[in-house]
Amino acid sequence: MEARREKREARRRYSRTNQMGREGRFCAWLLAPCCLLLASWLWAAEEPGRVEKTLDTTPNPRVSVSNLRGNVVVKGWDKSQVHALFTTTSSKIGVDIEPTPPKGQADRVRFQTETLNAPLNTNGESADYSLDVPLNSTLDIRDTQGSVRIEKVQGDVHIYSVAAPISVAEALGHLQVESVGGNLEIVRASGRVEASTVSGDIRFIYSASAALSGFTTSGRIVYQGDFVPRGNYNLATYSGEVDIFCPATASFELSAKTKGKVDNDFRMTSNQRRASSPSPYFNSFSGTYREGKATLEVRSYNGTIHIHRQP
Amino acid sequence: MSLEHNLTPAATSETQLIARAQRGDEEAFAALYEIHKRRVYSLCLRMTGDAAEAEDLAQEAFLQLFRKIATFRGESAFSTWLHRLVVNAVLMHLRKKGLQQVPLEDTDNSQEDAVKREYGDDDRRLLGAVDRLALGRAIEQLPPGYRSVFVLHDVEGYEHNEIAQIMNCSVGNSKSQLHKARLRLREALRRERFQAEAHTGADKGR
Amino acid sequence: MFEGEGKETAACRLLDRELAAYLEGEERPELVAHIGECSFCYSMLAELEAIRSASSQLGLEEPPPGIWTSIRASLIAEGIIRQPGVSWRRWFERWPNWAWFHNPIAVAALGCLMILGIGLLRVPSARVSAPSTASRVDLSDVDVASAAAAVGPMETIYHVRAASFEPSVKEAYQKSLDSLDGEIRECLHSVQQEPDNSLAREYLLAAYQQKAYVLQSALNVEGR
Repeated sequence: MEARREKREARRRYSRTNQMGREGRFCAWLLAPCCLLLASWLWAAEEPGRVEKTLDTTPNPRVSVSNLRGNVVVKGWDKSQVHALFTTTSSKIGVDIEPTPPKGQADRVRFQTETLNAPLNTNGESADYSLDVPLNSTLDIRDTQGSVRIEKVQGDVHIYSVAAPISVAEALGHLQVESVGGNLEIVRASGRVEASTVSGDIRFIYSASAALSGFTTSGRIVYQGDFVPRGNYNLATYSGEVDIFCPATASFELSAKTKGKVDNDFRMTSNQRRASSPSPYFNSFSGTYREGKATLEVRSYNGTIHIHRQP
Repeated sequence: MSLEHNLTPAATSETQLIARAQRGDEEAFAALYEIHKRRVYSLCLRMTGDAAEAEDLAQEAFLQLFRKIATFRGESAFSTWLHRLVVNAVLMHLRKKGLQQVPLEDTDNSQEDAVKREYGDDDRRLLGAVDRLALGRAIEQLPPGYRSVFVLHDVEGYEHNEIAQIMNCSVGNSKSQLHKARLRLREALRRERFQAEAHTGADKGR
Repeated sequence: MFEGEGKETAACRLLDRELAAYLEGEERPELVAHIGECSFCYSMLAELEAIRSASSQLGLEEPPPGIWTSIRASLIAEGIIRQPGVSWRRWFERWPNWAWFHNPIAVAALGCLMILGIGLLRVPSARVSAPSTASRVDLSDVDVASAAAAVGPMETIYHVRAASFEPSVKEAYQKSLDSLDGEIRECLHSVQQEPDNSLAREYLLAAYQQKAYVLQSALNVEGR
């Protein structure tokens, strides 16, 4: 009986060992492709967490960046090349760089952040991009969180973020900036500008654009600077205030509507042609300051509209 | 500013098409394309003078239009909105090609811009009815800056203050470029007429 | 008969600038007087008028046939053209192994996803999953009602998805949606109390449209 029990035990031990051997081999087979995958990510990184690459391009390529969390900085330079520096805090994050065509001068370059185990966890893992692109590049930037900064790009720029604040300086082309909750700052833009956010603030500083619109629901809009003759400016908020700071030499035709107040430092002549019929539900104001060269339409549902004269 | 227009039946149906397109209806997109395709393509062709470029630009303009159609709020006529979008797309394209647009300074004394006025001095006959094919060819040959202003004003009917805004120049500049464009076209049409008549005369002489 | 007999004179050159203004419809009595006596300027004016007139009547060119095909392909690829039924086929094609149909839990999950999929198909298309720069709209009670109805199913899906968002992303969306909901409530109340309040109507529909864009954008965010 004892012998039979021992034999049974021995058989169990044998089968367990055998099973462990089989399980071990199974795990090895499972781990092998994972190691290969990890190796491929590491191969994409010249050093762990850093990729630096320079690509020859046409003078006006289309460059797109799709990032999950991190800082994206793009600057225009006078070379027909894209120089990219990608850095990350995590070994689980890599970048997919796709020039089109793959060889020679690319007219499109796509950067996409990829994660080994999607998505990023909450330990603040992020990926940052620093790009130098040809001056006439067209940009398409998407960054869910972090920040986006663009400088001196002359092609069309489209930026979208969920929570990342966005700052654009000296854009010459058509600029479209959209964010769910990020603040937007646009400095010295010369082309057409369209900026919108739901809960963020918008600041336009020294704009030279002749077609500019900004819209935020609960944020505030600040416009600082003069208006271009024959320019069209359209600023609207729901509850946020609109603050316009412009010089005494400005020349504009104003149409303002709000349930709140309109607070105006400028002495204007009432504009009968543009004035809409008075409404008992909201305040509307139309007037011309000096020659009325630019057209300014400002609306807020219940925020105050301030037009300040800068000294 | 709410709309209080009295919509014509055609405008109403286009309004409906726009609303359907805003909901992603393919037939509505196709219908809007059919309605506006010739105007868009013609504008691109006349402003660029090149059929291949015009085809690419027309395609790009419609794509931009349809991508943005969700943001169309009806504060202007749809055709006006579309037209402005096409003009901006063409001008952007010309700017990127480095083609000179309207010069910032208008110098009437510029030798380069002086249009020969003595051509046809000896011929008191009028140009007569303008051959539209010849006119089309002559427009294509205009320098890009003159061509843009001419097409926008005389062909498409924009006013000078609108052209000035679109092309970021002064109203005076727009007017003077238009006049120079017309003078060049007159010269080109006269030259073509004289060459055609000389050729006919040579044939008759044989 | 005509002074100068068809040759340009100094007077003609001086009046050239006036010719441009005259063609723009401005009054130029000096030029008119000169044209009556100068065949050069008379023919110049007549020809420029003829060019202007012919230009305004130039015919339209027919574009090549392939343009719409290319446009259509791009619009479909970008999801701007909605193709009912395709999302169904695409969804089913991902599941070639029908063996798990024997699992009742899997079938129930499939059923729920099918219902959510129907909700997605009813959603208005909006390629740009971001708030628009909306400020004024053309709208009626029907437009407001259909905008509200379109937003409902998207909101249901959003709440399911949002549970897996990063906290900061979820906070950004929630703050924005709370702002928009506040705007909708206030404007709806105004419209109900003050049917002629055009500003309230405009902002109400703009808020629904923005909300749809924000919800659509949320659906594109990867969760945890």
